[in-house]
This record gives sequence, structure tokens and C-alpha cells, in this order.
Amino acid sequence: MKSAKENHSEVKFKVLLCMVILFIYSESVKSQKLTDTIPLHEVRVYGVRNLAQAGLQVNRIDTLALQMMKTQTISELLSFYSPIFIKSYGRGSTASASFRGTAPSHTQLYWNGIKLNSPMRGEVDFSMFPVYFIDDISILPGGSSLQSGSGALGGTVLINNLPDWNCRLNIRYIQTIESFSTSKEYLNVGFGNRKIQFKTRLFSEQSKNDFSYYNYGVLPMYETVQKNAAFNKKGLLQEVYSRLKNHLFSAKVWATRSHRDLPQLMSFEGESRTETQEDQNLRTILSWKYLAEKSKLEWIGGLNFNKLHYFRASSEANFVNFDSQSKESSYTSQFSYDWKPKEAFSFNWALNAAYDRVSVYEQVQKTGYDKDRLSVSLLNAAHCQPLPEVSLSLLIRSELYDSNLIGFIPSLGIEYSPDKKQQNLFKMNLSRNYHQPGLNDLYWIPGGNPNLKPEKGFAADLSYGYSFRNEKTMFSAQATGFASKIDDWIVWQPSASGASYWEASNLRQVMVKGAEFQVSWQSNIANTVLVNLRGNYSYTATSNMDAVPSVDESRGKQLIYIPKNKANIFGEADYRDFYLKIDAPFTGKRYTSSNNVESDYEKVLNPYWLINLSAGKRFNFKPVQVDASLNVENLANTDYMAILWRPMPGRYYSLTIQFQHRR
Amino acid sequence: MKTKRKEDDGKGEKSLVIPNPDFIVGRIVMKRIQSFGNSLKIFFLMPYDFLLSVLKGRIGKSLVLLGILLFSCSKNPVDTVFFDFTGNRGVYIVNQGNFMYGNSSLSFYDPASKRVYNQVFQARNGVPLGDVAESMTIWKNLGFIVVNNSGKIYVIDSRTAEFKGSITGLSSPRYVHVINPEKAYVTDLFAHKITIFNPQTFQVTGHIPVNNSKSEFNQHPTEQMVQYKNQVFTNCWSYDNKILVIDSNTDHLIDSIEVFKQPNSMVIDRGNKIWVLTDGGFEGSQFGYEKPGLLKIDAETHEIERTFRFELGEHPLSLSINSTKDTLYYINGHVWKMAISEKHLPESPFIQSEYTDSYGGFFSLGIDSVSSEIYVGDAIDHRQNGIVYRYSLSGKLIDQFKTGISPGSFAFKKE
Repeated sequence: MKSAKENHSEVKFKVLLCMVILFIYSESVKSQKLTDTIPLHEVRVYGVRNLAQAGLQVNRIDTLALQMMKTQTISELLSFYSPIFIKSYGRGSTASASFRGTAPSHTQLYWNGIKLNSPMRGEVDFSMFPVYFIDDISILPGGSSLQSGSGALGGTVLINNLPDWNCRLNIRYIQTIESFSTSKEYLNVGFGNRKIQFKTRLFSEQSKNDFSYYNYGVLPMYETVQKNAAFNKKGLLQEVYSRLKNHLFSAKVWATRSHRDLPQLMSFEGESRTETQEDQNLRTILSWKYLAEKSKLEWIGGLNFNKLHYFRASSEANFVNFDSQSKESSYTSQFSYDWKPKEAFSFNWALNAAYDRVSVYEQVQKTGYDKDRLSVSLLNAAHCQPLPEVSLSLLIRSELYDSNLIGFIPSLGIEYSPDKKQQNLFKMNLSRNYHQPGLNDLYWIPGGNPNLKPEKGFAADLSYGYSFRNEKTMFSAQATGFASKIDDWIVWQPSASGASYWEASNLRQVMVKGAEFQVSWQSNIANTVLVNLRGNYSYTATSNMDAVPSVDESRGKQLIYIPKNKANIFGEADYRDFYLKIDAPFTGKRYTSSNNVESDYEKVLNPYWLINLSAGKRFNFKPVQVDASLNVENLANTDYMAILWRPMPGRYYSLTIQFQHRR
Repeated sequence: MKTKRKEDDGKGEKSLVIPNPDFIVGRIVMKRIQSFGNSLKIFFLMPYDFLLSVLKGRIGKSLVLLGILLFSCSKNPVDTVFFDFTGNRGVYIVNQGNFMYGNSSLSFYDPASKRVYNQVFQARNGVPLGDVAESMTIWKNLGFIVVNNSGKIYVIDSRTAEFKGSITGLSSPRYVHVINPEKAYVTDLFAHKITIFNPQTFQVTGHIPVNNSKSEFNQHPTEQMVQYKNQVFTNCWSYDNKILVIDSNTDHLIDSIEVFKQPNSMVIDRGNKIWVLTDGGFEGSQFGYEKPGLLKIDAETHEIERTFRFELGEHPLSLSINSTKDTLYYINGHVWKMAISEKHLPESPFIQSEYTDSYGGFFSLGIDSVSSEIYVGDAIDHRQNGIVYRYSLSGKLIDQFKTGISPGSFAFKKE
């Protein structure tokens, strides 16, 4: 363990080193001949017709965004580039996703086809996934999510890794130095030929996270630094791909480990605590794909092991208050067969079997459970294009878990484009979906309820998209309206029996209505400046329709912590090798009480804009390409709370330098 | 009763049968709505104007707009609200709030005028009470509010709700009991000790270790306290079954009485008998799960004189006693009443709860130490402001009012 002083001087040295490198490079580049060509970034435009996705809403976050956010986590990426609301406890802390006003367990995450949601809690901590480890990310809202699996009443996030068959050697190293004694290192080594490809990615991230803030949660108020918020995360992803004639094999292993200190609320003035969360994950995927002229057969086998250790003790006396270990093991096997008998017809069948085992044990109170679940899911999907302007999709899932059979989970999608260029595109989707309770909801001691029913949802969405493209300009816009009704929504409530613990029950009926708007514009001005502007806005009204006692005022009120308004503005300008980016996410007002009282002092979380600015330069220093950028986060030094009484950092800085060599 | 603001007095507020819980801060709300309107303009129109000017190439205008955008966000200080409850009897209601939300609060209710004042701590002192306020003890003109998960006790002047000081650095404090002007005890769920402090200077002066080296569980988690002569009795609730006895002269543990599993509340009657209510644990607990019970213990001899049992699956809580110390009250779904001379548990409830559904219901109970009127807290879904019902001695509803989130305990101000 290094002393704070050593760490500090190390960071200082790294900053200095990077500045020197930057200076030397910029001086050397000045004398180089400048070229006039500015490459357009690859942007996948909405509306490109792919029959297997016809009638489905598939929103892909483009590779430019992945490149821009390479040193961030998926939680930040989704928060900036999608309408998904991320509830984050702060830098490096747990971040859960709420999709179209639903609960975190209603957003599912699939990595190359296997589900990564915790079988215990049902949700995903999106802060555990670095953007650097993924090559492709797309979002399937509402009923479109049935393509990958059932249960995503909000929607599904798909993250994938892809082979690059043209790569002979690719080495990329990124170093980031950030305020609050933070450093992040990423390394990627890929090599191979057109038959076999190897790719290794490593990352390491550590932070003391000791930002200063003004504590107005205690008396007397005072200027202080955040304590017990340090974190470190490490990860490895190894991929191997090979192709032999029509066969494609791949193997992937992903291992991560994270250690997080859990900080207290601003009002905390108690005896100092050691409170930590340690996560370890190991995931493996094997896949085989056989491609024929009109069909495709694929098998995926996946293992997913997670360990979570939560610990709390008084620091001085070393009395342990909680010491909880949970282990999750999931095994997945999936066969899928795609058949495209004609140009305008495609069918897809998938059979998925998953076995989850969870064991939880809390050593102090000696409570826990050890349970498992087997689920089998069958997908029958048909996509067709009966007319050049119209595409249809029908997905039907049947699901069996433990001894419960849900035979009919349908999703119907229609797509209509009146013009040949597909500049205008209408999409509609109707679906029914079910979400199984998490194992904690069923078996947690005390309060778990083994009689819980699955949550049932009806969802509908309608969207209109417009896209336009010429040599210099690309423009696309999309407006979507959605509505859904979820019955038997599971909540943990204190029971009327007066028990001192809370119990899980199928209590609520939740109604969600909302709209999403996305606009993107990219233009090459006078062949010298490339401008890219993007914005998204979402409105989500989500409320409990089933308040039982007459005095319960939560009926019809917005669910807590879900903002009605959320927006993001992004702008980028590239001039020669220089670039400037501005990113401004907005989070609307959020309530923290179920009856939405507003008058009490800090019960409403006020809306806030954050502004993040980044300026950088690319250098071609053959055979190494260098990209250096300076980022300012929370430029306006906005004082805000993302979660009640948890401090957030003001303005802070980071310096990122990337070295890449590619053949 | 007066409430004053800095700039003008708060006239024009009506006293209603169910008073608006937020009337104290009404003006602040109006200000907030106005300022929210302004911020809406800033939030939505400014970026639009900014982008428009960038697009039109008006660099000067864009810079100005960017400047406003960046530096327009400022803190909105809230005015202090001054209270004066001098000479009023009344009850402070401690609203627990939600664990790790830091939204506990303090309410004050004046039974004579039927007015409730919510959020009095924050309104008067400008900071939140903290995370999970557990209890409040009034001694002389001081109120000791135990804020469990903030590890501290906030001390207020019980006449004005003004902050007087704090006792910090505690582990998981639960209740305060004042022995004399130099000595008070704080029980604790996790500390394995009782903390001693001076109730006038708020300085910690010592500790009484209550560690149970034999236990497999996290014992002894001390809770409520009652005093008989120089003996202080405290119940150990969570995963425990003991009543500890402390000599308040020597601050030493002198005895422990084994009772049923999980004693959750305790009172002393006029015959110096200690009554202990136990909840029996929960299904699946390794410590055990048994029928809840009620025990009568002689304070002098520490003998258990009588025991009563409830049915398995019932959850009795909040044992309380009236001002003449001869009638017990507790919640078990409904409110139940029992004379201390009874030989059986009551067969029908005293105040019937209308709740039959799977959540909500009576959550807390307090008996006015002068009038013996009955106050019952209803936390509804524990995520919104709860309700307190006030009943007469005969069980007739006198008033009901909204408080803060999870009204969990009551502290009666006698003068």
C-alpha cells in the first residue's frame, strides 16, 4: 500500500510527463504538411433495412460514441447517449438503469448472447462494465427486447465483441490521469490473420475519489473532502475467433475484480466505519456458428460466476456489523437457427436453457439461503417484407421456469416506409411480456415471498424516423411514443402485520407513458470543419395506479427517483487533427417520496445540467498514432445531488493519452 | 403559539382538521416555484439559444450565452423559520425516514390548537435531521434526538427547536435516558457498550461495556431503558433475549434477566413491575422463531412473575403505559389495552385498525404522559408522509394529521 504522498507525487509525475509529450508532439507536427481531407466518422444511420431486424426497434450507439467514451463505463455511455435513466451513487459507485420508467430489474443486459443480470437481485450494476471492453452496443426497447429474451419490461441492452478479420497487429494503450488521485490504464493487443484472431484487453482503474465539497448536511456546515469512497477495478477480456470455411468459432473469457469503499451520507457523524463491497466476476462464452446460403445455425454456451462480498464494521473496535457473501453461478446453453427461404422472408428459432444457483450467507446474523432455478425459453420468430414499403415481425416466446409455464409471450412489429430511399420510416410494436421475480424476492430471509407471481407487462410503441444523407451532410431524427402497463409489480413493503422487516409482494399496477426524441446532424463545412451535433430528450410519466389504503396518496404519482424529463446535448467539431467536444446531460426533477411532496426542504432532487468539455489532438507519429485530450467534467461546477444526501464532485479534470499501432 | 419568519410573520395560515403538513414552508415553496420557473427557462431555452447562435456563427452572442449557462446555477438559500413553543404542552413526533435516504424529520403537534408543525428541525436550523431518527427524550428544556444511522444525537431546545449541540461518534445509537444533571445513557445496537454523556455539556464521559463474549450473535444490542431506584433496565432486542440491569451509581452491569426471544419494548408500572414485550424473531432466523410474549418482572427481585403468549405469526410492538402507570397499551395490528392487574391478554382490540391489506397500518404508539391520550402513527407505504391519529382515553378519534416519513416515536413536552 502506497502512502498518500507517494501516490500524489506519482500522479504529478504522470501529468508532467504527458504534458511534456504533448508539447513535443505538437511542436513537431507544426512543421508537417497538413492535409485537407477529413474523414467522416462511421455513423450507422437509422433506417438501414435488415430483414432480421425488420419491425424491431434497434437503436445502436455509434462507434464514434464508443471511441469518445473509451475510458468510461457503460453506465455513463447509456446515460449520455440513450434515453435510459441511470441512477448512479457517484463516481465508481453502483449504477442501475431504469428504461422507460421501469425498475432496474426490468432492464436486461446481454453480453454476446448471454444474460448478465444478477439472478439474485434481478438487476445489473452498469458501472462494472468498461466501454473499452465492448465493440458494439445496441438497445432494444419494449417489445423488441423479446428477440434476445423475455423479462425486459423496460428493454434490453446488448453488448457485443466483434472480430476484426483485417487486423494483423493492433496495439493500443490508453493512460488517463484524473482529479482525485485517479488513474486509468487500458491495453489492447490484437493479432492474427484472416483465419484466426486473438484479442486481449486489460484495464485497471483506481481512485481515492477524495473530492472536496461543502457539507450542508450537518451542523455546523463545513468544507470537507469525501471519505471512504475509494475504488479500484481491474479486468481482463480474452477473445479468440477462428473461421474454417462456413464455420465460425469463438471463445471469450472475461474476468473482473472490483473493490469499493462505500461512503456515508452527508449527515453521518458517527463512529468511523469500514464499509466495503467487493465484486468478482468470471464469464466465459463458447460459440459456434455455421453459415449456409440461406440459413445460419448457432450454438452459444456460457458460464457466469459472480461473487459479492459486503462488509461493515466499526473501524476502531472492529466489531463486525455485517459480513455477507453471495455467490451466483449461471450456466446457459442456446441453440438458434435462422432460415431465410426467400429474399422477403426470414424465420428464427432459438431454444435457451439457463440454470442459476445462488447462495447468500450473512455471517453475523447467520441468515441466508441457497436456491436454484432452471428456466427454458423457446423463441419462434418470423420476419417478412410482403411489400417493398412494409415489413412485419412476429416474435413468440414460450417460457418454463421451475414448474411455471408461460406459454405465450408475443411481440408484433410493423414497419412502413412510404419512399424508396427510406427517408421516412414508421414503426410500431405491440407486446406482452413477463418478468420472473429475482431469487432474493422469493427467498430472502426475512421477507422473501416464495408465492410471488411474475410481473406482467403490456407495451406499445410507435415511432417515426426521418433520415437524410448527401455528400456533405447526414441528418436523422426520430420520435417515439410509448405506453405500457405492468401488473403485479414487485415491491418490498412493510407488511400490515407489523413485522419489523419488509416483505416482497406483487403489489402495484404501474402505468408508464412517454416519448423519446433523438436528432443527429453531421456536416462537413467547407471541407475543413466537421461538425456533429446530437440531442436526445425523453419524457417519462410512470406512476403507481394501485394504491391500496384510502390514505395512500401515491396513486397516480411519479415513481421515486425516475425523472420525467431527461435530455442530452452533444456537439463535436473537428478541424484538421484538432477536436473539441461538448456534452451536456440534463436530469429533470426527481421525487424521493411516493406521494411526490415538493414543499419539504430537500425531498425533491432538483433538476441539473452538467457540462463536460473535451479538447484534443490526433498525431500521426508513424508507426504510432497518438491521441491526446484534456477533459473538463462538470465545467460549470454545478452543485447537484444525484441521490439524496450524497455529495457529488464539482469541476474536475482528466488527461487522456492514447497510443496506437496498427498493421 | 407563534411562528415567525425573518422578513414577516406567518399570518394567514389556517388551522384545519387535517392541517396541510407543509404550511410552514408555504412561502418557501412559492419562492421555489418561481425560481424553478426561472431555472426552467435557463435549463431549456438557454442551451437552445446557445446552439442557435453557434449555428448562426454569432460567436459573441454564443460566448455570452455560454457564460450565463455556466455560471447561472447558484444555491438557493432557504429562510430560517423561528418557532416558539414556550408554555405549550405538545408532542414531538420523530419521523424515521428511509434507511440511507437521510430524510428523517421532526414534527411538533399542539393538542390545544390542533396544529402540526412539520420539518421543524430543518426549518429552524437549516440542515436535515439525518438518517433514520430513532427516538427523542425530553429533559428539562432540552430534546435529545437520536439519529441512528447518522451515529449522532442532536440536542435541541424543546421550546424553539433550536440546535444546541450534538453528541457524535456513536455507532448505532437508539435511546437516551437521563439519570441526573451530570449523567445520561445512550443505548446502541452495534457498539457492544452503553455510552455515558453529560446532558448539560454534551461531552462523552464514559462507557459501560455490555459485550457478550459467549454469544454466537451480535449481542447485546441495547434498546429502551427504564429506571427503578438506581437500577437501569435495558432490553436487548435484535437476536437476543436479555434484559440487562445497570447500577447507575457505579455504571456497572449488575445483572441480566433472560426473557423470551427478541424483547422489543419495555415499561415500568406503578407497582414497580417491569413489563416486557417480545416479538419472537422471524421464520428462518438461526436465533430462533417462537410465539411472541409479554412478561411481568419485579424490579426489585428481578423475578419473572407472570408471562403471556401471543400466537405465532403475530407481531406485537410498541408497549406503552398511561400516565397513571396502571394500563398497558400495545400494537398488534390494532391497538390493544390491558390493565396491569389482568391475568390474560385482552380478547378484543381497543382501537380497531381499518387495514386489512398487505401493507400499511399502525406503526407506532405513544401515550401522552399527562393526559393519557393515545397517539398512533401510520407510516402508510413508508415512502410518503405518514399520518398520526390522536384518540381520547375512551378510544374516540379526536384528530388526525400528516407528519413526515415513517412517524416512529413520540416525545411529550409537558410544559
